[in-house]
Amino acid sequence: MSESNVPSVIIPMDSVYHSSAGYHFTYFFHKLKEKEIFGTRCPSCKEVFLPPRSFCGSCCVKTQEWIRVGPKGTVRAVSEVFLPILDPSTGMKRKVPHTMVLVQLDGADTLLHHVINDEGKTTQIGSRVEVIFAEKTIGHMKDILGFCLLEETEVSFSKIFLKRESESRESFEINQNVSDFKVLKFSNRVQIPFSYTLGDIGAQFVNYLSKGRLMAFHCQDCNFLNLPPSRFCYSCLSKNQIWKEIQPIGKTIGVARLEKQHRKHLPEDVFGFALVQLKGMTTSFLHHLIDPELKKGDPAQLIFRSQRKGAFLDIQGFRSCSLIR
Amino acid sequence: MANEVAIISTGQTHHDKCLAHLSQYEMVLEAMTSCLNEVNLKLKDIDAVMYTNMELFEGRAFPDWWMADAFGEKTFPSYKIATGGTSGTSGVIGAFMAVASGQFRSVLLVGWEKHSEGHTQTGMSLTEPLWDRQMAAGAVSNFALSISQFMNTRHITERQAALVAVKARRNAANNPYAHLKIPDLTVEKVLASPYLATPVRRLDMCPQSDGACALLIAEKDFALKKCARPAWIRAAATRHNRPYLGDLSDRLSTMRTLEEASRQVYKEVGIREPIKEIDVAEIYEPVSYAELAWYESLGFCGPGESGRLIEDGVTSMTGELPVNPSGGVLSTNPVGASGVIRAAEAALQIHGKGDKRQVQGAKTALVTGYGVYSWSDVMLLSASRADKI
Repeated sequence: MSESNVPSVIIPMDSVYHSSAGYHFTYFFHKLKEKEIFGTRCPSCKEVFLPPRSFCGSCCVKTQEWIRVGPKGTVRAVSEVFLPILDPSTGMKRKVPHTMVLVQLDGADTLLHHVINDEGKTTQIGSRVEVIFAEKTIGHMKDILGFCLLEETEVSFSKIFLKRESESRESFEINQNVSDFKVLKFSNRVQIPFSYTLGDIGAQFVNYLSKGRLMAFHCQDCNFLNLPPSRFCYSCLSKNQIWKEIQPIGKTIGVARLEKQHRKHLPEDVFGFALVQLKGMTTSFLHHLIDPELKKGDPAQLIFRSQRKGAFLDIQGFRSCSLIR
Repeated sequence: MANEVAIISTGQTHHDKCLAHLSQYEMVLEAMTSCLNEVNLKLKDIDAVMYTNMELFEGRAFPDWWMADAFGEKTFPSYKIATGGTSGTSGVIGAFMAVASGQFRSVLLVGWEKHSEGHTQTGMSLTEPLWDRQMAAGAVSNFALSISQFMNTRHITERQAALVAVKARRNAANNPYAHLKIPDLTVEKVLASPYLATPVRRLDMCPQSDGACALLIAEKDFALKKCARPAWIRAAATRHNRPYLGDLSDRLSTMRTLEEASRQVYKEVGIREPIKEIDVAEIYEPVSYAELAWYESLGFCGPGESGRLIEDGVTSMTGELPVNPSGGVLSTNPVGASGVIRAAEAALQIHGKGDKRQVQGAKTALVTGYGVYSWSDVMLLSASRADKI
C-alpha cells in the first residue's frame, strides 16, 4: 500500500459479480447440503475430479458418473500460514496463523485446498483427516469448515494418482435432465482498496487545482498542450515541458445528461457529464455537467468549488458561459 | 523459413517498492523512451507495440489506454498479453512470432506493474469464485504447499534454499535497476527472517515491485543496422496446462510445462548438455525453492541434485552456469514486467552491456517465464545467427 507521504488517491473497489454454477456445481452443492461429497469420473481415464468437472480435459470427453468421495482423506501438502492477506469477499484480513493443506479425499484423484481445524496438533504429509461440516448447511463451499486429524494412518502410502480407490465406491450416472432444482447463481462480492499514484507532475497539477488554477504541461519541442499533464509529452514523448495556465472557458463538444435515478452516486448539483474543448487546447476535457441547460456547441465555463483540497473534484464542473456568448 | 529475429535494445526503470514520483503511464513511458533512445529511434519508426501487464493487480481497466496516447498522430497495431508471471515472456514470444512471420519488421514490447497501487496477493486470490476463492491465498501459501511436497520427495533443506536467496540479493547489488540489493546478506540472516508460510521465510520470497521494462525486437536487416551485437532469439516455446492447484500434485518436482518447453528449445538449437552449453540463464524464480526445482526441470541436474548444485556454486557468478546475474525475480518483481526483464537482462549479457553483472564472453543465454500455478515459457538467445551455437 502507498505510504502517507506519497501523492496518491485511494479508490476503493466494492463490486458484486454473479457466477452461474452450471449443472455439475449445482448438483454438487445440492448434495453438499446433505453433507455428502461427490466428484465426477471420466469414462475413459477414470480420473475422479473434485471440483466436479463436466469434462475431462485429458481425454476430451464428458464425464458420465457421480462418485461419492471422502469424508476422510489424506494430507498431500501442508503449510502453516503466517501472512495475512486481504479476503476479497469481506475486505478484511484473514486470521493467522492457520494450517493450510491439500487433501486427497478418499476416492478422488485431485486435491482439495483447505484448512485444518484442529488446534495444537501437528499435521504432516500423509496425515489422515476428515471433513468437518457446518452444523447448519446451506449448499455452499462454506459448508465445509475444514478438516480434523484422525488417529489412523494410511494403509498404503501409494503415490498419488496411482491408486484407483474410486473403483469400489458408490456411483451413479450423471443425468442432466433432472428438474428437482434450479441451476444456482452465486453472488460474489469483491472489496479491494486500490490506489492511484499521481506522481510528481500529477501532484503539482492537483496542487494548482487547489489554488483554483487549471494548468496544462506545454511541450517545448512540439508545442502540444498536455491536459491532464504527463512527464512525457503525449504527442512526441519529450520531457521538455513547462506549465501553462489554461483559461477555464471553451466550447461544448458534447453533453450526456443523466436521468435522476442514474445519478444517485453523483453530487446533487451534477446533471451528467460534459466534454469541452478549452480555449487554446486541441484535446477536450471531460467533467461534470452542472448546468442542465448546457448544449453541444454552447460556450462553457469550468467552475471550481469554493472548498478545495487538491483533487480532481476541486473542479465542480461545466456550466454555460454568458461572457463569450 | 521464418525471418531471423533479435532483441536489439532494452530499457527499464529503476525498480522499487513504490515509485511515488511516477504515475503508472509515466513509468511505462520512462522504460519505452529509454529503450528507443538507446538505438536513436522514435516511436514512429516502429511497426507495432505490445504490452504486458496484469491490470487486476492495480484495479485499473485498460491501462494501455494512456500509453496509446503516446502514439501521437500515428495509429499502431497493438496487443496486450496478461498471463500472470508469464505475461512478459509470452509477450516476447508473441513479438518474436510477429516479426518471424514477416508481419512486422520491428515490435516494441513494454511490460509493467505498479504493485504499490493494489493488493497483489488478494488480486491473485480472485480465482474460481464458487470453489476456491475462500481458500485461495495468493502466491506465498500456494507455493508453500507445493514446497512441502518438494522437500518431502527431494530432501531439500531450508539452508540450501537460503543459499539461492543470498545469491540473488548479492547479484542484485551489481544491478543498478534492482529493487532488493543486499550485498551483505548471509544464509543466517535468511534463516532468521520470519516465516510467511512454512517453510517459506520472508527472504525466500520475491518482493512486490513497481517498475517497467521495454524491449525492441526486430528482423535481421533492421537489427544489423541498429545493433552491433544483436541477441538473436534462436528458439522459443510456451506450454500451458490445467493450472488448478488441486490438480497439480507434486507441482515443483514434476513441472511438466517447463520440462517440455525447455526440451523443445534445446532440441531446436541442438543443446545436449545445458549446463555446459549455456553461458548464462535468467530464470523466473518467485521463491528460492522454485529456483532449485527449476534446475531439475531445465535439466541442469538430475532429480534431488539441485541442493548440491547451489552448494557447489555451479550457478553463482563464478560458476559454470551463472543463474540470474541480475538478481532475478527474487530481487525485482513487477509481475507484468518480470518476464520482459528476464529477456532484457539475458539480451544485455549478449549485447555485452551487463556492466558489473556481465558474465564475461556470454554468447548463449537461457530465459524462462513462470505464470499462474504452472505455465512456462522458455527462450534461447544467442550472439550468433542460425549457424551452430
